[in-house]
Amino acid sequence: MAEDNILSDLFGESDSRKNVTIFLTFLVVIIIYHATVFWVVLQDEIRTKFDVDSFTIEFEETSLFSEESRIINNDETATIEFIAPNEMFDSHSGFGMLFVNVSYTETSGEVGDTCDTVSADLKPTGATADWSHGDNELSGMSSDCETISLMLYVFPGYDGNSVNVSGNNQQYWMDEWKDSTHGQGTFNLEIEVDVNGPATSFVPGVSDDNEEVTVTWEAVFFDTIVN
Amino acid sequence: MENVNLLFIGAILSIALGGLSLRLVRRNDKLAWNENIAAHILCLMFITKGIQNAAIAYYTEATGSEWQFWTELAYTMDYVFSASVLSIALLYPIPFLRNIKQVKIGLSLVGGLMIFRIMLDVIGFNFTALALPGVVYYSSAILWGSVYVKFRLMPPEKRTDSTNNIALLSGLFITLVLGHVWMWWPGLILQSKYFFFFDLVGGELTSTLWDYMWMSGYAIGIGAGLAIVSIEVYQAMKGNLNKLIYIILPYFVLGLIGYSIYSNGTDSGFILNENGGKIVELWSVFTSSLHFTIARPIIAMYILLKFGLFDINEETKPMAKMMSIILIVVATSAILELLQSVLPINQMISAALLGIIIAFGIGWEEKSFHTLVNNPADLRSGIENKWFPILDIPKKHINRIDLACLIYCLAALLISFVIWQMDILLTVAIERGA
Repeated sequence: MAEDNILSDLFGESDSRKNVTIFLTFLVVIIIYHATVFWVVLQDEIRTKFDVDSFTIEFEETSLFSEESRIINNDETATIEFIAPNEMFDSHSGFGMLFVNVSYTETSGEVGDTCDTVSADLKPTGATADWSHGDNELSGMSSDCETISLMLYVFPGYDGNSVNVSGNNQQYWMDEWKDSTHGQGTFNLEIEVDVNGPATSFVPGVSDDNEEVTVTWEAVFFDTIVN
Repeated sequence: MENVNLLFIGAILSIALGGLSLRLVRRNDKLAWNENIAAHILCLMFITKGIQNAAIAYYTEATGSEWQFWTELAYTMDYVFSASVLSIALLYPIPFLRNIKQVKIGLSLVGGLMIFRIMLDVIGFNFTALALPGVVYYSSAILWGSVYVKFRLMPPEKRTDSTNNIALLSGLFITLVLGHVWMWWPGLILQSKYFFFFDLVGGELTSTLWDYMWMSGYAIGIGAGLAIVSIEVYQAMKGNLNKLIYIILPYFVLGLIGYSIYSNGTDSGFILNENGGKIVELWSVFTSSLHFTIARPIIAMYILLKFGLFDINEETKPMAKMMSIILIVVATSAILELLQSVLPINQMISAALLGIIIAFGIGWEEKSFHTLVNNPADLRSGIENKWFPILDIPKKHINRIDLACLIYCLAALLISFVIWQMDILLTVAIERGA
């Protein structure tokens, strides 16, 4: 019957008994060590290993203003360009939004001359931006000397408000909100002037053939803060 | 992507080699009862492991609810792997089961565990501690480890080639099962997150207890590996060198290198996150995945050829040689493809390299195959007969293991289909918040 029991052979001889016992004891020590680390030392971290971190992403904005005035003749369409300087891309996380104000007054000085009609159109060419954003204001028109305000979302997802996210880590979200490719290139603003002549325009020497239009570009750059 | 490709290659390799090996084993009438059973099970283990590799690859590519089918199929095949390892460890190279009664009880318990695990899956108790996760690593480390220690540390006067061969064979089996775990050994010792945060199934699908049981299997495997490598180094220093040291030492050296790589990543073991670094992914593919798909079939092939589980004669020699060539060609081209995904090698150059390496490989195969076949390792010379009890188990009964495995595989396909159609895994995942 003893021959049917392998344990009596494995542990039968003193040398072999010592060796196998040391080996099995070592395995038990390893199991105890593993259990101690798993259930005691790293217990909290293991229990929360699938907990997802939440972050609030905030943006610190810096605006770059640029102004240009131009006299545009009646029925003429002028294109005014804007290029954001490279150093702004280098020193900030991204180019968030672009605001354009087109202002003018009636400058003919003639009696009874009403405001001209000015239309502005920001063309979706030349620069990378979120041109299809539903809240973009890419064109506008004014006949009463009111300022025309246009707005373009440049960095996808950016609207200036803070964002709550979960998962990944701080660096991941910093990287997600850093991209210098958005806003690169030339923005083209087309302005057309339709002069409304003064009531006395039939009098020789009295005329209104053009208008001075002032375009103010506000490029909003942002720095990402992840908390 | 490389990982998926490698899984498919591993699947082809395992199924091809397992199938051809099974034919050769069935023709071998010279095997003792325990060798015969172990050889059958080893071949079947590789066929089912191949199916599992393919299932995992399809699971990775799944886009709909069919992931449940592939997951269940992979796990049912893994149950065969566990049962196979447990059975072989109980029988070969030294039978722990020494009479018919013990064999019947032992193998019934192993088969029962396999069926029990499937039943748990069917009734929605998937991935629970009841299925005894990690038992495969415990059995490998304790059974083969004890045999290894017993025969490797024999007193010099009792030491023979056979005792060394038994130790080598036990060591090879442990390497086959635990090699990938050995490449994370610093993680266990240094309490790294990449080891202790390991989660095989992922998320909340498994309980902390399940994760612990699985990981404790890895821990005991690493313990056995450290003991073996220490013994081998000690014996080599005393002039008693065994070729096992050349096989296991690289795993532990790779573990040291892998520590610095895994510690900087967000991945755990061979489980890769979507946001994990490229270097971690590459390391995992070139270590763990390569072990699963290439190293395991190579070790199994070596065992089958070296320890006389094939009866190589004029009739069977062509098939055995064909298996060696398949192994060399598929493994070489797979590794070269992987290298090409990392290094910018021109395709023409890599094709030429492949040709040269295969030519050398086949040339080497001629020589090494000849050496292997003509110098089989003997396990019994000079060993007391008590270690090898003689049991009268008819060959036709042993051959029925193949039929039983085939029926199991068909049943596993059906069960996986039912689990998919009934959304059992999806329900379990939702219930557990996974």
